[in-house]
Amino acid sequence: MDYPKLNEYHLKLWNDQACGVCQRGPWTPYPPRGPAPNRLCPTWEQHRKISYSAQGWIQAGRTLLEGKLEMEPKFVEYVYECSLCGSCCNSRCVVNGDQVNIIKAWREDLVDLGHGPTEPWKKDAAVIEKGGNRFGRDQKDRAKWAEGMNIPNKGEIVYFAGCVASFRAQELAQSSAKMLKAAGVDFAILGENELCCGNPLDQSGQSKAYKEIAAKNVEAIKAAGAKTVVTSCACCYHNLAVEYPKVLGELPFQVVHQTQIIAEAIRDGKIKPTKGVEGKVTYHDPCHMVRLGSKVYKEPREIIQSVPGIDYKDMHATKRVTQCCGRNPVEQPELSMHTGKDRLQDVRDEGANTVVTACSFCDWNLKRAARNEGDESIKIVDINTFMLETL
Amino acid sequence: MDQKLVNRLKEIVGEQWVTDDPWELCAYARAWSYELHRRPEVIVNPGSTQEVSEIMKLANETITPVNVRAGGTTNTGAALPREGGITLDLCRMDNPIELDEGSQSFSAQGGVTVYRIIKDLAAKGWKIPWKPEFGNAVTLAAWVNFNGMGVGGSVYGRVGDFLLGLEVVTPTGEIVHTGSSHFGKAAKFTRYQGTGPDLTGLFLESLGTMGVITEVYMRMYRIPEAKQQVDFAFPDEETVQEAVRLLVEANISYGICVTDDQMSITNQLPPAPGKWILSMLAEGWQEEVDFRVKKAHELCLQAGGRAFVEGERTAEWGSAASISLPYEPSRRQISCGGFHPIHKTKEIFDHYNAVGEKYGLNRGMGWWVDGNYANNFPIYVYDEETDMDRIFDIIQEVHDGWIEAGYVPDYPGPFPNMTKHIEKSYLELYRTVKRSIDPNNIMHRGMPPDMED
Ligand SMILES: Cc1cc2nc3c(=O)[nH]c(=O)nc-3n(C[C@H](O)[C@H](O)[C@H](O)COP(=O)(O)OP(=O)(O)OC[C@H]3O[C@@H](n4cnc5c(N)ncnc54)[C@H](O)[C@@H]3O)c2cc1C
Repeated sequence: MDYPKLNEYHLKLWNDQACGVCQRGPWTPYPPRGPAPNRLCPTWEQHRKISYSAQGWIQAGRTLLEGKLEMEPKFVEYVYECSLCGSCCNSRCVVNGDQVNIIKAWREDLVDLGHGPTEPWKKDAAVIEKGGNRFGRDQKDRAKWAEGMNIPNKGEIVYFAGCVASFRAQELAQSSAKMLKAAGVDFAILGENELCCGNPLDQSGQSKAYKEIAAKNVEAIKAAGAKTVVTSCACCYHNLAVEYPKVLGELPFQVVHQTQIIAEAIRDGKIKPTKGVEGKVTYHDPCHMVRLGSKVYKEPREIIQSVPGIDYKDMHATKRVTQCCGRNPVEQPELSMHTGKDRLQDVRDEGANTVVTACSFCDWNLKRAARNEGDESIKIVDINTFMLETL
Repeated sequence: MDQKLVNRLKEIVGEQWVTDDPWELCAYARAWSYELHRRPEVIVNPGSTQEVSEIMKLANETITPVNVRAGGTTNTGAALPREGGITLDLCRMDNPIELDEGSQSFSAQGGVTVYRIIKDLAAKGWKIPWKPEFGNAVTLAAWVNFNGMGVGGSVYGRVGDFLLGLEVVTPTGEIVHTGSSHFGKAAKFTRYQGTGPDLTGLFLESLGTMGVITEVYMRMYRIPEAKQQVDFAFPDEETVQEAVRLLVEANISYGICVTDDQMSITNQLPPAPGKWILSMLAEGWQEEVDFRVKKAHELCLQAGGRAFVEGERTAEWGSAASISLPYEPSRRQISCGGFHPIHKTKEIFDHYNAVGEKYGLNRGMGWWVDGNYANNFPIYVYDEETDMDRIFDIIQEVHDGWIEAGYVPDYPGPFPNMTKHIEKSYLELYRTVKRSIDPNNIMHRGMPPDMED
């Protein structure tokens, strides 16, 4: 069998109902499961063809297993189009939430067979292998953001900043650290021992490289003496909390998203916002915090709503059915831009002036989309920076 | 497909909206149906009526088959091409709906989903007559093409009963408006007018054979003050059939849906509190609803049923609530229903049950009322890899028995065991009309059956 990993989903590929829920939402559009959000699948929204939805990949995967299709470079690219945001996994159907797993399994087969990954993901792997981070930057600079902050490199709680906050948008890591301090949390960072969480490798089916980098991160965390790892990037959170145990087994520490710690600190009265914010505020749930194995949506809201007098409203498509921000600005720049713009439209439709996020990638993508549209009317801000302004 | 034709299609709609990559065609070769793969050769996503018109002209000139694909949920494969040709996907044609509150009507592009319409109308306090139970993928044009219905069918009948006209592109590429809007400065407020026969009906339920529906004009209603669902359990087919007869005769329901106890098992719901469950929905002014609910109790008890008691599961409407279920191991569901007179229900059910027993597949039976008759939707659960032969046999046997009982299918498809029952003169008239509107028989080949290709 040429595609053993894809074939593990054989029954689902054969019995897929081809019912359209992965483009448009579930069969029951009425409460409690409905109504469906106006948009569901980012690739379908961009291409407007059923082929660019889980239904398309599943039917093509089945046809491939039936021996009626041959892989060729353009076909490989097609398999790498999905952003794996998992929106379709919500729509209860025959595939039973395995849509993302099916595409990931297929990509693993493609890598094993030498057909994949496509160029951008290959480049990611090379850069990560060489330098330990996804931007090809010197690992020595990884903890530059923490200069002068006096953060130790050993401790029971480790803050895992992630590549984006370490290299690209250091203010995110700095705000996270300040908020952790405000909450009275003693924490350490791994410095240059913190490597990319490996997400691009996991997404693209480069499972061997992923396992290696995951193991190195786990070793570094263990060596730092951590019992808890805190992330402020939803993508890192998903990888450490959900994906690492799948490839490495049970981890010797717990993984939490920073919003869980801050919400608790607010509940305990350790953090007390005193200043209000102007205008209407909304929150964008990162996919990686609300589905694909995670359910962190109460805490960010608790945090934001603790701001005195805040005018907060959830926007369209939130929590479990949140809309993707665009996810992979480097590897899938067009899809990412299209999706980011769609999400900004939801913010506008809500009439909000500020959208708060809790993920370095969401922050990146939404800001990128706003810049591209020349729209400066919406403030896009990560939750820690937002909260610091209220203390 | 001839690459020249593909290039001309790209000239019409733009390169990104045409694809003939074989892996992409797979998605369009399958639908929510037991019909196995039938692949188009090229997919085109037009963005306007004008583009549809140019595509149809080109297809007609080159005698290329055209099939329209919407949500693909028509359970009998109507959304699939015969084989090859162009498949049109109108999902880009989904502009926001326009309300004409003065005429209590709205118009919308054909590619908008029905639920988007329901949502947008609700935001302004309006609704379409029915509350459908299908999935989110169904588009307005396809629903018209299928002449659908929904909860509300008891009082409102079917989509065709509230259609005020259409914008259609014919197979030869002409753009036609039916209903009042084809005349002078008239708005889209009535389907009927004195300028000729009801041409809207030509496209209604035509299953993609007569033209491409690009806009739909439809009646809307104010969201009522009150709604209430009441559920009753019945011990057998006779009593539930009698209850439905009484409710329809008394004209007190907005919607009536009946499901058997097997449906609960098939749909992974808690056990049904009776052999048959009848759910009636009433809506209107509060006093009116109170009266209807009271009357429903009287009539259902009179027929031999009992009202649900506290704690008993409220029936879920129809089958759609759990139509694509995450069975483990994975299984598909199909439905193969149609319409029958209410008083034939027992006969219909007995036959379906006997066939189900014979083949031993999990199944469930439901039906609801459209005006004065029943719309049934039997469900079978199967594994595509191992059960396909049985599925075709079952469908054949179910239909054979039902045809004897006086049922009509919701889509005969190009299946000889169904089409042989169509009256010859009816079929000839259908073919004559089809020939005059689609001289090269490019749209949905196979319907009507036996058209010379
Ligand atoms: C579980 C289930 C529950 C259902 N419940 C209901 C219900 O509650 N009420 C109800 O009314 N129906 C119900 N249906 C049937 C439903 O109405 C049809 O499946 C639906 O209308 C088809 O819409 P679609 O968008 O999926 O169209 P498709 O299946 O893609 O197409 C349907 C037909 O219309 C043609 N077509 C599509 N678009 C156009 C166009 N623009 N111009 C011309 N022809 C076109 C296609 O060629 C095809 O022949 C149910 C079906 C299922 C499977």
